[in-house]
Amino acid sequence: MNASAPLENKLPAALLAALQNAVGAPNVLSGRDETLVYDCDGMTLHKSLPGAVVFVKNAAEISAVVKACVAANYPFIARGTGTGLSGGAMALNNAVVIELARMNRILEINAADRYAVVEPGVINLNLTKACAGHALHFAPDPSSQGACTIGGNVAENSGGPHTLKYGVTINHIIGVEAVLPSGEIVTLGGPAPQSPGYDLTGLFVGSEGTFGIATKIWCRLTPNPEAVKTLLAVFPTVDAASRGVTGIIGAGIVPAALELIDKHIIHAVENWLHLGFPLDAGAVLLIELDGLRDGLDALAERVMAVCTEHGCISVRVAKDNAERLLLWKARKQAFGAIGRICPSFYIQDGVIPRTKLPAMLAKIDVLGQKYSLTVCNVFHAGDGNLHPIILYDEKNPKQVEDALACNSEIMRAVVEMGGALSGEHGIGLEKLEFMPLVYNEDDLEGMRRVRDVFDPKRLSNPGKAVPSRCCWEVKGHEPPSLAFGVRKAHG
Amino acid sequence: MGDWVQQFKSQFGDAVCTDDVVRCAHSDQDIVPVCVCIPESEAQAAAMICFAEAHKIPVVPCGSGVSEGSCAPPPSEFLALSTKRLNKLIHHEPGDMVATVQAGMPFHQFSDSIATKGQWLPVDAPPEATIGGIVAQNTHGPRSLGYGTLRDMILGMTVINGDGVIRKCGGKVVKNVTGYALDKLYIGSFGTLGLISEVTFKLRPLPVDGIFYDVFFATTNESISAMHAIAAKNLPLEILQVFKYSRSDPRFFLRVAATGTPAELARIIEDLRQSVPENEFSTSSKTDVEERRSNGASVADISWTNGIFAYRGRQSLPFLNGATLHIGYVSSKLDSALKIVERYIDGYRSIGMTEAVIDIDPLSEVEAARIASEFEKLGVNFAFENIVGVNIPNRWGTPRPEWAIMKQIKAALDPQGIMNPGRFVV
Repeated sequence: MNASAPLENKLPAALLAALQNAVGAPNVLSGRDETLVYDCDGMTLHKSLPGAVVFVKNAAEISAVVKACVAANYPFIARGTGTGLSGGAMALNNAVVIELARMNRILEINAADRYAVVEPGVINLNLTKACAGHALHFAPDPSSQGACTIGGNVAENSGGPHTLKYGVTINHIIGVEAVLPSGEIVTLGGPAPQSPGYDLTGLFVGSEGTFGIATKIWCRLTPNPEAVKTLLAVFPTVDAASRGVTGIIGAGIVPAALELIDKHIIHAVENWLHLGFPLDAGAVLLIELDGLRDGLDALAERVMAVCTEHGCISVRVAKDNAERLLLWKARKQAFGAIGRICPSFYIQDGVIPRTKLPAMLAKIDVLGQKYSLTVCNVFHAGDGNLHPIILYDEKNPKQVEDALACNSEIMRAVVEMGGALSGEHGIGLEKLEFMPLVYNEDDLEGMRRVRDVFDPKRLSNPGKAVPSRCCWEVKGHEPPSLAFGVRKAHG
Repeated sequence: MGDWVQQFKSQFGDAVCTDDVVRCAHSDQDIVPVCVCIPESEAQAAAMICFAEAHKIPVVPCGSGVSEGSCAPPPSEFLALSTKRLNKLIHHEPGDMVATVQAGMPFHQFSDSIATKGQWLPVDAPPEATIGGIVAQNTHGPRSLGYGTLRDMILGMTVINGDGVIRKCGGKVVKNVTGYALDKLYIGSFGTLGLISEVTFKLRPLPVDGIFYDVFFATTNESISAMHAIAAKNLPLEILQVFKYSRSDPRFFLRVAATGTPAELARIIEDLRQSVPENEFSTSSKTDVEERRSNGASVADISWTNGIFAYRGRQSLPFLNGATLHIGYVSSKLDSALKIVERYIDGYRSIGMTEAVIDIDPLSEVEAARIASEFEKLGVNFAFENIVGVNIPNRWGTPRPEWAIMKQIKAALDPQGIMNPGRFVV
């Protein structure tokens, strides 16, 4: 097939009728024009047109839609707001998209037991806003927290800057009501601890929609810190800054957040937002400390001493909340700033042991030079969670090819350093081909066995998370699932 | 006993022991294994499980045996698979605050090893327990208020499943969404899916300065009110738990523990005094971690005795004389839950799991059925443990719909059903 040809909708008419019957015809989009906007998520490199987009409002409707798809042996996929960065919400093989954005109610906030019950379409930040009166918040805070849904956070086990101290999504989910790929509705875990049996909630989080669709989520709420101190430590080079990171962690200090921003990002942000970041810096560390008011100054002193020891030129301490938000703005708007200076960019998500940061950043620099590509770094340094951003021009086939090759080499370097392919974005479609670098066939086969317990027909977000087979060479081959139904967006 | 034992011995030699003393030492709830296998490598353990699978012999993984009785009795004929020789610290990188350890290492050894680099694993577990045992049982205690449970501390795992295949999941970095989180599945699975052979933990800096704030109360209600008043302060506490003073003394004892800098601790004490004024029985003191360490005590032992057994001193291993009941509830149900087991209650918390000791010896089947029935009506999770010799049809309550999924997962990873069969919910 012509890889760049627009795909046609191949949804069987009988299934379309069944979907319309399940949720009402006005709640079903079908046809190329209506569904085109759903052809990818935040990972735009690969696209596929959904067979239909179905807007649901409760678990019963989802169950009916899933049963209709299963009866037709047709794939389906849940979607929130589509902010994912690994292709996890991309409708491979023209799957039916079950759109959860309308299931956006916060059902309960229980301050005494520090949990909330939400529908999957609730925007992450809205839960924290709703809890403000109780001095509680939902700790996972992806950069997209103003737009991403908690259902999506559960599917991908999302992180964020403050997961360094507070943990990722899985550490904050205590129960899930889900529609299984059979259409059955089950409840896993719940507000009371000690649920008997295996921790199916823990297993479900991060399963990328392949074990079913969460319809109700019990979220743990975290007390707001009494005080916060935010520091911007300026370093002459990326290497010095990364040594500062390993120095802080090595000293047994776990800040609430510890982010590294390199000079490319500083310039892009400064030229756009004029926040007063130092343009002569090689890199800066955005360090946030929180806790009781008492003792926070002493901790900040310790952090500054470690930074100075590693060549820090100066430290700016946010004097009030307005300045704190300004410093964070640079971090949160980094991707937007890059978008202004380069037509296309590719964000990675590998994680390495924190002691390997200086070596890894040097390696990324070398690879950028090898392919004559600019690679920027803005990432969760305290966790060792890299986000190298490879800049390229999608209209230049050579650059697209080089960007993919550079990405591949970075992935391999991550694994060689004892790291993981993804820290918070998920494997999705994007990193599927690299899974055999991390796990052997026995490991993957074990994962597939568990997947088949939930979804023996492999209709729930097929072709994601875990490769369906591994007998293919990694390098130079497309993942097998790409052979059908997908076009390369910019290839 | 089948011919398999001779075959087994000829295949694995000295790693298989049929000596009566050794077998009896590995008995579980008075049931003695046919033989005790002590593999010296992961590969040998895998070969043993393959053999057991081929001959459909039930396998009971065992560590140090401190938690015997925590699940249903083993089958009448079984093979004990000991992790005793799989006891190495594989990797500890202090700069990453990550360590990988084999399952058979005792918790106190592991704790002391990582403590030399100023780090610890903040779990309340018996010092003698093995890493594998702690993980298989999802052991945790009052400190989970401050640090969470093992789910929040485990980064990866290697397991030999019931089909004899060695599989790893997770990794050695602190954030990881690469593949399914099967490690979460194995935590608390009581060895029913496979033998845990290696675990990677996210560690914490070892606290050097800490405090206790202890208050005694005459009644349950007073202690509950005090606990809620402190919880509402949202202080960074490690422990907030009420214990019965002793089995013969009906008073309740509220223990609060926190760690931090001197400035933080002074502030916490001040807030505690405001929420729950000191009475004639209250005390506040510095934790004695450094002092006891300098006297040669194990970090695990200090942590254990300062937490769970703070009020009784180190007596014996827990709950050996009575059945144990673990209860999980939301705080709005605490009063009702306590009434059901009031006369047995040993300790409880405002947030998270409570524990009650039922010290009727033996626990009657009628009483167990009453408790189970009332908890189910109330929507409280529970598990009976250490009920040797008492027939309780289901110590985790009435089967729930999601147990069907658990059964299928067990069948997927342990196709012949040889791993700890009949001992857990599946």
